[in-house]
Amino acid sequence: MKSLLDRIKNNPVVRFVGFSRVVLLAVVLLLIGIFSLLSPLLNKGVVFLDINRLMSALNYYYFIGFLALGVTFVIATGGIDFSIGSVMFCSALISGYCLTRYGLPLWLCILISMAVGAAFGAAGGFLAAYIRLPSFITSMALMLIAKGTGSIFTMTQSVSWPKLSDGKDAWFRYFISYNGFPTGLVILIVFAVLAGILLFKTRPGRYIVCLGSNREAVRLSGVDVRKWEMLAFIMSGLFAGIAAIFYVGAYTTVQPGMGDIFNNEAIAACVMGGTSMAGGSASIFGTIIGAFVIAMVQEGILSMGFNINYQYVLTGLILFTAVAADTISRRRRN
Amino acid sequence: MSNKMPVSDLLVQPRKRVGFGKLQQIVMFLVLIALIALFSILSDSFWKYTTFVSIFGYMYYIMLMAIGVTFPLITGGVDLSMGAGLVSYAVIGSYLIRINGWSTEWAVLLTIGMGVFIGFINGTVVARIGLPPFITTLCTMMITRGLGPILTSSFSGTWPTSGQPGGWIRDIWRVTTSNTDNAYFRFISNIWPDVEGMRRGIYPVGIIWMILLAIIMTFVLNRTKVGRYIIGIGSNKEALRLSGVNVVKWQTIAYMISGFFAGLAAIAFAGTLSTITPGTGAGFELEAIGAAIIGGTAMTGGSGTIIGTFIGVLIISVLKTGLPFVGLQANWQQVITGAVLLAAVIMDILKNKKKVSD
Repeated sequence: MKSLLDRIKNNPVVRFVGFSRVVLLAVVLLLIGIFSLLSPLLNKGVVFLDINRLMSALNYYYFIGFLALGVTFVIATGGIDFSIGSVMFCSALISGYCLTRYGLPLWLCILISMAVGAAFGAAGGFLAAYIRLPSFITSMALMLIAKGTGSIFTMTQSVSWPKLSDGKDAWFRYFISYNGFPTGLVILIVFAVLAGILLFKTRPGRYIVCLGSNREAVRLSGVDVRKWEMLAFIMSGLFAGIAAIFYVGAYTTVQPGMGDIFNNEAIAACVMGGTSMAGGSASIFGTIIGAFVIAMVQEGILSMGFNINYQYVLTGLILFTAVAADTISRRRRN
Repeated sequence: MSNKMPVSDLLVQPRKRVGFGKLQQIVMFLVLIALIALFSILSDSFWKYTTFVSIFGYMYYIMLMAIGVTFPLITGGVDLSMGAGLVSYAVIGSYLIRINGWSTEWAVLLTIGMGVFIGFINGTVVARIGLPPFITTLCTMMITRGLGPILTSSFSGTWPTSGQPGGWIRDIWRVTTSNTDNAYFRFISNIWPDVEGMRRGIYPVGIIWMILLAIIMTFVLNRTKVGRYIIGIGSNKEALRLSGVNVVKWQTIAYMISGFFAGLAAIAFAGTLSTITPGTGAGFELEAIGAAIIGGTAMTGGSGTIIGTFIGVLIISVLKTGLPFVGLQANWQQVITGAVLLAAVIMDILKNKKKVSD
């Protein structure tokens, strides 16, 4: 049995792709099998592997991809950002309120959304990098502040973004799909490529990954680690601001005081894709794959006719499994 | 005991924190007095007996969570599963009473049992597998948050009210009486001469349990093996392990204590609120963690006191009850709680810096 496992591990194709990714692929195929089998039985003949259904379902999950891309930067530094879900909602509320109540032009509102996100990211980054506070607790505090700020700004009202049928100010919906063409997928991949270039091919990105593995060494080599650590948090906030546009593009309405569940999904996607919780190693490609797995699992639960509470439980279990696998494999390597 | 493990006892002697720890408690106590004075000046209706009764009612479940979370915090960990967990335990308990016809006593036992069980899972995963505590407890938070509504089919829970069979669950927190002609109410009416409070004749009984539990847990933390080892894990885990102490066991126990207190907090929540909405509660634990850090528990582990946590909870409760009196509504409370949490953590870091430079 062990020799078989070794033979699989030493197979040139498996070595090229990476053993953990092969395992992930196997799990995905298994889940697809389960969902395809159980959906028609449990939910009045719903077919899981219906390409039209899946393509339209995909529209509802792009925002998780953007959140996960952003949080990859923070996790690469060895930190964590629990505020992104609430920051995304805060961005969507503030910019949506500017659009619908104050009548600001749509392009400006999209910029406002990104600016709000980046501002929260900068705040979190300042606290983590310059004051050296543990990022999990500061991002939790920022989560509360983002929730409160969103509802104060909109006076505790929900905000509905324009629909395509409204005609005016609805072109942001083409970011998600244009007459059935999945523009959102293209944009997500473009952003992923950009994020990958930034993280692996530029100096700031290298510093971000390196300070995750050995902060002291990077500092002693004369690099201002605080600046680059803060940049990682700003990226995370900026991506949360972008994710806000993709959220409202699919779901239209945002309610104040919500959104904190989405950061867990994004973090799970990121860790599942091979970015280590301990920092120092990141994979943008893996994050995108992880986001698709999360989207598929959630869609599978819905297609089997279960409600959102099952999604919470399953996302919790997935996040736990991903982190446990990461921790155990890291311990083995040492 | 003393001649059996002299080495480990030497290693885990609680840090001498007479100076700054005591000072912080005194400062925080003064902050508490100042807050009460400020709200009383800014609002005419704050300084009333009924206000303080409602502060106590709001305080109980946060106090229980905060006493519990102090233990994982001292080990250098955290427990984020308490808030969502306690709501789910309380909802499941009420479901068993209302739908399955359980008696309140058994429901209470099961509620606390569920807390201890989730605490055991948290502790085992953190101590044995070595996962980061905040991620582990985040996962159990999501799982309990989902499981509550799943197991009860999104049942909106109500526990028996006072006077119904099993209504003692309410009477252990507050007792209402029409006979206010006794020494207690005469004493109260000297402090708060408001008629309305007298007419409603409420004894906030729960505060007695809070003080008792605080004393017991102070004893557990400072005078028993459990407490010493938990402090030792926070200050120098490796040294403790090398001296032959089963650190995995004691670290697990720290999380089981916080789980037990999450169960107790569920009872307080069930006994003070009229209806419990399933699936809520995520975020309650942040108030408890904030309170513990305000009270002087170090984020990095190794030191903390129950008295400090007690004062921290009072500050947060007065703040949250007082804000509506000065016109700041619920959405401001989140911002303020976040700001207080940040302030507490910043203070903790500055304190440690000072210690190092000393």
